[in-house]
Amino acid sequence: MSRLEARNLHIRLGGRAVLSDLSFQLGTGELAGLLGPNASGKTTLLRALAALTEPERGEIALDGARVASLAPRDRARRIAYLEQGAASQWPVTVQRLVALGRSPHLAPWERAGESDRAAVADAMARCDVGHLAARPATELSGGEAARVMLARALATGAEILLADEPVSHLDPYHQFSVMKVIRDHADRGGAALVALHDLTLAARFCDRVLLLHEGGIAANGTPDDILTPEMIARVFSVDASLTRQDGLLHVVQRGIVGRADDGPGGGV
Amino acid sequence: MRRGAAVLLSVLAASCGGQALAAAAPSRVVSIHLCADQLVLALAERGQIASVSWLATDVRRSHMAKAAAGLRLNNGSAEEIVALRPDLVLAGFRSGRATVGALRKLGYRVVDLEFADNFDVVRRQTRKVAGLLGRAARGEALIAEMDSRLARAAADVPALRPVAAIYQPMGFTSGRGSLEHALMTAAGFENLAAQRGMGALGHLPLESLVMAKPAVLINWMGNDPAPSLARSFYDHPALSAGPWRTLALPNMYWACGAWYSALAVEQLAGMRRRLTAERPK
Amino acid sequence: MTSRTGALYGFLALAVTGLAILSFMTGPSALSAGSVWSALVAPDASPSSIIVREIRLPRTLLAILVGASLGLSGAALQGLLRNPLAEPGIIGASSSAAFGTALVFYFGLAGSSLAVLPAAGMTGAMLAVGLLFALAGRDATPLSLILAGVAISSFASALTALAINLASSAYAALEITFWLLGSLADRTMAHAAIAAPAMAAGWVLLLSCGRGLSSLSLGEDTAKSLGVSLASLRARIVLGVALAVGASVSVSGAIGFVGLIVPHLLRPAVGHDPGRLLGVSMLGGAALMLAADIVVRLLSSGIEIRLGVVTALIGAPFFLALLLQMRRRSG
Repeated sequence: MSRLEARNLHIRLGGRAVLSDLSFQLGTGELAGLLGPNASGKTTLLRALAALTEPERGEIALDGARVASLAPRDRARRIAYLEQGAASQWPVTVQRLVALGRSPHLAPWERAGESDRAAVADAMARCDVGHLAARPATELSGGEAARVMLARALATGAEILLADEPVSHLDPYHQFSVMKVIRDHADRGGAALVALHDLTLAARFCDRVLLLHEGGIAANGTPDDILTPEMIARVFSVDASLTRQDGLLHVVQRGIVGRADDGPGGGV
Repeated sequence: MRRGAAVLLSVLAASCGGQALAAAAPSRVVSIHLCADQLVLALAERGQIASVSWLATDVRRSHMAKAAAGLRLNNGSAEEIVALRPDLVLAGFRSGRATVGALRKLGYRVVDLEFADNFDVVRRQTRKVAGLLGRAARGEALIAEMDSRLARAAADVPALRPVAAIYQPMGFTSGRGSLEHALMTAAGFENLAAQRGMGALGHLPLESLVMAKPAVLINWMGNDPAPSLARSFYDHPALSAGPWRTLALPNMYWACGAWYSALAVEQLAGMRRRLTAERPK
Repeated sequence: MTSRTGALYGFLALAVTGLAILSFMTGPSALSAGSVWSALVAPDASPSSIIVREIRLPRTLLAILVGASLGLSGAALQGLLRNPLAEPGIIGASSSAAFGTALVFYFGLAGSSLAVLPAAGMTGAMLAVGLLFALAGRDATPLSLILAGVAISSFASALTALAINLASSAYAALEITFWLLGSLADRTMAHAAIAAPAMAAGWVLLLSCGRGLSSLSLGEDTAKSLGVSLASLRARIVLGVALAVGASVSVSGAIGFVGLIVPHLLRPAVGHDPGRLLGVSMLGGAALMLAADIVVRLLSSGIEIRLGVVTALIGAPFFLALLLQMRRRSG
């Protein structure tokens, strides 16, 4: 049982305050969706949780221990980070790329062993990319690449998965299959915090949803509780209608609502 | 009276655009070349010398460096020389052709010295410059001194001459037709490069030198202690491991062929005598 | 190591051995294989023994050491900068190392100690890499990388020429082609001895970066999330390149393009993995340097062609072809 906890986070980027006094928790078995408009700080939050940036104030703790003070390889074995638009610089084979996920487990001159190979095979099977093992990583379609990168993250064997918009550029089929794998990860005892744009998808898969707005958490709860037309209008400036069909929540955008301070968004 | 006539004539000559008449000794001699400097400094009266080249005071390259002290130095540019109002300009084989051409066009008398790569040329040039300066007797004295040194050096040359090689960094050597060849043969050595048919500038890889095993290696690092790859080259183990002796001569003997080259021949002859003495009979 | 990588190492080791033998047999004096062999195992004072031990041995040894250093540094830089165009020559590390060494050498700053020269080369190389990061930034595009490298390289070459012109020795001015184009001619065992320890230290630092570089191919954030300390990786590569390249240049002058060609040719053979490319680039670099030096000796009748000229004749067209290939792919 792992618990990732953020307390009173204040994060600045380039002099600008992106997140202010943000607190929440993530536990095993949970798949939490991170929602919010562009530039609301989703990526910043995920990067801070992965200890890739330092918050100005506040703490991030993994099972009580400060994430920033964990040894890098130790942290890497417990938190997996899937960055937005992850891509490989060189055309290594998919097999090799996924195997990179095992590096936190290997000492500098150590070679991969049986358990490592098994973990890689398992991750690739779960993401259904086994048939792509010999393909160069630079020759993958969008959907294939997304699943391969996810397999890489899962191969680390980390309990906690932080994924930054893993499905944003994918067709409905691949969106679904990737979310299914992440859901599966949570069901097996992992935890996942996934930044998403698609509200319906979030409603379909997430146990919990965090809504980021104006530097803080506007709402934190189950999709059913949080996703109301009023909340969506306030956070996304979108006029939405929600319907329930086959027990599933559908969010349909009808139009836009004028923002109080209309203007070009910020940087993040 | 004759002196006054000479002065009058040279004034007339100067006012005619610098055309010197044969009888008048020049009184404002400018030398723009290191090798010409040596002759001017050795042969002319000090009052005749208007200027010598900037290299004249470089002890590494100029035999007459001390004598050049206190004289006006020039960089060989036409502008400078014109300002000196010379009545004779002595240039060398490496003087800029543009400068020499410009000076001649302006009406100055410019005499080119060729590179003296053997003692015949040395004698000829010494006499020529002595004649130009009106100091023929001094010229003969220098030549006589040189010849007696050369005669002493050649007095006891054995039938079987030891083999020597000039060895410069990057493997440069000097064969037939070079000044070095003249010096070595005058001292009683056989020149390895000439034996191999090389001309004035030849190339001998280090490996070939090791195989050839000459008795003496000669270089020109005698007075250039500053660090350079050339200097470190002479520390090469293959050179120190060889059975030969090394003679480092001062750079000035390589820079110009002149009457004082006989001093280099003397040093070389001394080395040759030591070798012959050590030879098993 | 997979069996494929093992076979590659075997093939390269064989190539290096074969070329080394050829190198021992190449020279202006015709020496039989027998005399070369006996000179190595039972040396005496004969000319052939001197030639083999004091002329051909250091030359062959240095070709291997310098080639390995340049190949490895090129592979490491390409992995760190995530750019197939990076190599010590192009980024200006070699020219800067040449400047550092020439400055110390000609102005007698080393006293009479040869051993200080690799340190001078190292300092020059380190300054260049540091300057490169400052100019081109960490996420350098190919263009900014080349521009920064050209700037640093030109400046360092100009400073080298200036230093040499101001040197007191009359011979200095003639020696500039050694520093700018490199040569292994008439190098001694002393040269190999002073350079080898620094090179070895550089190799150890660079080879330790294998896993980090493999992870880095997925981007800085992903690499960090996999436990790679980017600061440590960068420091090890800067220091390792400075040591290996600095020591090499201090004894052989600036030889370019080896670090560009070798990793590029070997990359497909190691599955494009930047980590696995390191070790094989050492052997590949040694092989290329040996081959180029043999060509230099076979082609030169008289004054030897500079080694850097041969590598540039192969390398510059190679570089252009690479550039075109990259433009075509991104365009």
